[in-house]
Amino acid sequence: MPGDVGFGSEFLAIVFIAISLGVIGMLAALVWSNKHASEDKWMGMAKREGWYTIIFLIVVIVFATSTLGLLPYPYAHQNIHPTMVVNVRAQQFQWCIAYAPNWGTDCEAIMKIPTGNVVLFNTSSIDVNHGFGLYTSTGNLVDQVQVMPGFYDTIIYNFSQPGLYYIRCLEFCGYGHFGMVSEINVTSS
Amino acid sequence: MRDRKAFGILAIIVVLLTVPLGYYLETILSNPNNQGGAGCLGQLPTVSCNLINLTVPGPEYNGTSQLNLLIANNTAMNGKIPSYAQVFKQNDTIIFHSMNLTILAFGNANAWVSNVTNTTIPAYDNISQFSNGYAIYQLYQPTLVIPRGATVNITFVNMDYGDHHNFVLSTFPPPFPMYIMQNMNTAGEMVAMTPLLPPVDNTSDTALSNANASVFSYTVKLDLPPSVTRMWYLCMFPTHAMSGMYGNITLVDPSSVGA
Amino acid sequence: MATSQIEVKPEEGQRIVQIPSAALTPYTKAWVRRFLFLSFFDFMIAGTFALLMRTDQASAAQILGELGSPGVFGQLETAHGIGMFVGWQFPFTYGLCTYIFPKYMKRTIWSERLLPIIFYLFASGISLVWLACLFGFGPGWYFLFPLPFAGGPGGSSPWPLGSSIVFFAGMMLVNISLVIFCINIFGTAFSNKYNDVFNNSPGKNNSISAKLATAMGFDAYLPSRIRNRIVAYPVATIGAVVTCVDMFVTVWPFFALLLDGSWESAGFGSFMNNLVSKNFLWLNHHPIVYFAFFPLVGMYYTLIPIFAKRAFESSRWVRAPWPLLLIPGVGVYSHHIFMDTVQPFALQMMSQYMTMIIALGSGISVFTLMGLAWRSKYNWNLTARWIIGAIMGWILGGIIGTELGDPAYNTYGHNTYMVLAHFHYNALCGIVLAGFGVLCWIFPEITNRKWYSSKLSEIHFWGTVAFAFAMVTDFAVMGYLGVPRKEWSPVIPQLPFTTGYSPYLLMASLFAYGIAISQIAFIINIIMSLRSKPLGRADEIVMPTPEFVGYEPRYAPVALAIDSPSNTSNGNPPDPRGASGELPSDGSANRANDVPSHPRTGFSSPQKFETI
Repeated sequence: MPGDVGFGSEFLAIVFIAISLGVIGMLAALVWSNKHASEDKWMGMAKREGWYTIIFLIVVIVFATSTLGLLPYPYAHQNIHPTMVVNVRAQQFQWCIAYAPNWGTDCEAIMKIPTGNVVLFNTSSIDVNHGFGLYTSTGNLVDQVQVMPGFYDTIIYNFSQPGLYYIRCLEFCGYGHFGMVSEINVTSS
Repeated sequence: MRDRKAFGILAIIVVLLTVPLGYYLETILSNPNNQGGAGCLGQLPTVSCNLINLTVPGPEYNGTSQLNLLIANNTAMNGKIPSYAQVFKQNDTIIFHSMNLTILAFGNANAWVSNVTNTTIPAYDNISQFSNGYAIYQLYQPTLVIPRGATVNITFVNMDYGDHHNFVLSTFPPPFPMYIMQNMNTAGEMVAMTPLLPPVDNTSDTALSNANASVFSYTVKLDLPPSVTRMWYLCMFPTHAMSGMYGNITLVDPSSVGA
Repeated sequence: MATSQIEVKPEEGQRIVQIPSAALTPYTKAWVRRFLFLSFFDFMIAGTFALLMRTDQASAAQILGELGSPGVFGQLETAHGIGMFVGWQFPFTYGLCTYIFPKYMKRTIWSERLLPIIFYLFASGISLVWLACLFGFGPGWYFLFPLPFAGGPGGSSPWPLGSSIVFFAGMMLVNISLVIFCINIFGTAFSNKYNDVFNNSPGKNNSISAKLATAMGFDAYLPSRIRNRIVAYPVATIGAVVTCVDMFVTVWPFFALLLDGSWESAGFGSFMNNLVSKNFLWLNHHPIVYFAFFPLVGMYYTLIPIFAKRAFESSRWVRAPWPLLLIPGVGVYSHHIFMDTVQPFALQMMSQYMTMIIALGSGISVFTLMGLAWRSKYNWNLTARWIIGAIMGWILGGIIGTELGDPAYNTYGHNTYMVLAHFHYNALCGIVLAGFGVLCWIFPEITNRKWYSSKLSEIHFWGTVAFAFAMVTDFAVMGYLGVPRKEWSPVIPQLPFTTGYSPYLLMASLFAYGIAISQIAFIINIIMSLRSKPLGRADEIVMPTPEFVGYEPRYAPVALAIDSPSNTSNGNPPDPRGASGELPSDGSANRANDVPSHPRTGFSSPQKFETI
């Protein structure tokens, strides 16, 4: 569940950098190998294709399965109960973020959430698709959900760290999309 | 068939398709009935909005048109002021004595507004040579006194050569930040707005006779709760309202102004 | 010519020949040319739109004037995305597949007369799409409903509903051209009208089920006693068939979406809800990214053996990944909507695991291809370098794609520059590089002219590769930093941390201009090449073809054994063109001749591997 994991895009970046360096190494090795052509040694590599395939398959299946406990879908975490509900109504080009049960009224300029709350964001749009993107004050994207007209999309986030969080629209919604932002202040008081 | 012939046929097909359709699109863009999207304002969709099935009445949008710049300029400087509009130049105020009224507003850089209204722009509204403002019935951003519940037709003309402007009616107060869309929702309510109109279409025409300004009009009934006594008109483009492109509206009891 | 010392297995083997294919008629070649030229023309236009967007995002919007306003940004994004995925990719794939079948399968296109219809229908469609964008239409290249009908609040939409009607009409024309093209390809691949080894091989299984199996790589999974009775399709054609199957299957829900879009644009209500619209959109808009990619992978399998001067150790590994690309090619579509929590969970899980399977298919292909080149006397000609560059882009894009193909990690990357980095690695640094490489390779054959300047080709290659990888790596960095995509201005004062994005956005725009400048060399080169005098005979230039022996078909005179006395002194089979320089009109050059058959494979005795 986002907010509990403790790693996110940093981990992905490390994986990408590591494999990219491997790819660059592979290219260099390929160029080297062409200067040391040998038909015998090539056939040895081709024979290992089966093992390579099995290992690749195991790696990707394990990668996918290991994240099943981290799915961003509230229904996949039956044992996690939100302590607070926030209604988010999106429209071109503004957010109305209000404490439940208000919907579209009593919009908070800066939503205040006490630290440690597990918040269920209940989002919908009254016009086009938007994207509810939750950023920390240092710019880490920590959670997001699509906001669709005619549906309620929900996410749960654990605000264990105090501070200012920003909401930015992450789905292109028209010419004002770039300025569609709001704020959440997570404090201990 | 040679390649040149094949591509020549292609060019003819493309021209035959795109030129008439382009003309059609150009026509409907300037058609007053062009609603662009479904006409939904978001908070106050119109009855014609086909996105959301609501019956709450809202503003009626009358679409975009073009106005010859010379005519627009003359109208801004010397245009006829409606009989129900009482202009107080010394107070920079207009009182409307009617429940059906039209507000004709022109938006442009302050230098032009100062010229057509024969006004010295206050320093706090004129923080740079790029500051913008409205000219309404030959006054610089006047306070508009409007009877509560009146049906108001706003016709806005963008006279600017370089900037987009629009005319928004809202209940959220200044000071306005650079990006004001979010504040419109949390600190008040956006009642009605024009789209952001593009600048004048022919910026090299110094004689003004061959240039056109974009015009947009809408009609809205100011049927707001009695607690709302003040509104503002402003420009939504980032930095404009922050730099002073806004004015006040006071809602009054119709009987107090004989409406 | 030196002969390889390696002993090739009896059922495998390869010869590289340079014999014109009678099926690649002048008429077909002309339309291949026109499709490819149209595609690269569209590429240049769509690339220009991207330059304007990069300038916007580098906070230099004021330089562009009206072109730098937020409404125009939407138009540019729509025109660039569709311009590349449709405007460049569709005619390129049409042209490439129209070349592949006659060249490598020795079959004339099922209906050559459909080629101009496809060409004009497509070009009409894309011009309407771009016309709509010119008149303000800007909901993005993947147009999530209802944005095409609601571009802004109030009356503030930057585009009239008329432009959305024009857009949907254009897309319908484009997709009608796609359907006709797919029918043409299926006809070429499966029709019984051809009298060749695939339809008439004694003792072989020429049934439609056998052909379907081999045309999509399923024969790799069959037991040998069944597999060896199937006359295997050339791998380049497998790529073409697989991509057409995926596109043909998914175009129908997309037509429903386009019809709904036209209906709504005319002022009527929608007949599908937004979730269904999203599903129908992505069902088509995922396989669309493979449209050129699969035939190009088929070309990698075809050309790398030529450059490496050796055959694949096993044809089964060549064919095995294709079903892993075919089925997940559609099945992964829901990974575009991982962030929609209302999407059915079963579809999300299906797409997650299908994404892993498609990664496996790609991984197998890369290993097979790189394994073939490993320790070979690889000919690093220009096409070979384009292709290796494209494979590098494929791998890097694949890493990010696998990361994004997991809902837990998708949270951190969806709608950020991670997505941009993923598909620009796969598209710009993948299929576009390969596209240039293939064009470089087949240009002489389809135009009967040589390239004007190898120096200009080198400048184009090095400039494009260096700047493209640099720009997309910059995108990747921004993606991992969480920079959102499709923002007219990613840097805004309300979000103080966004000021850190500026240097990366500036670098991306500088690299983009580097790519653009490198294309100048290509434009000069191709214009000067086309203006040069054609060579003597229409089919004078013939690009090499790897002809497989073993359980793949061979064509006379390739079927002759190397040590047969009827071979010419240089080891090549005799040229079937007679004194007239023309191929025999009875098609005999394309039929398997009767040679002593191998007891196990049914083909001639084992041959030593040899190149021309």
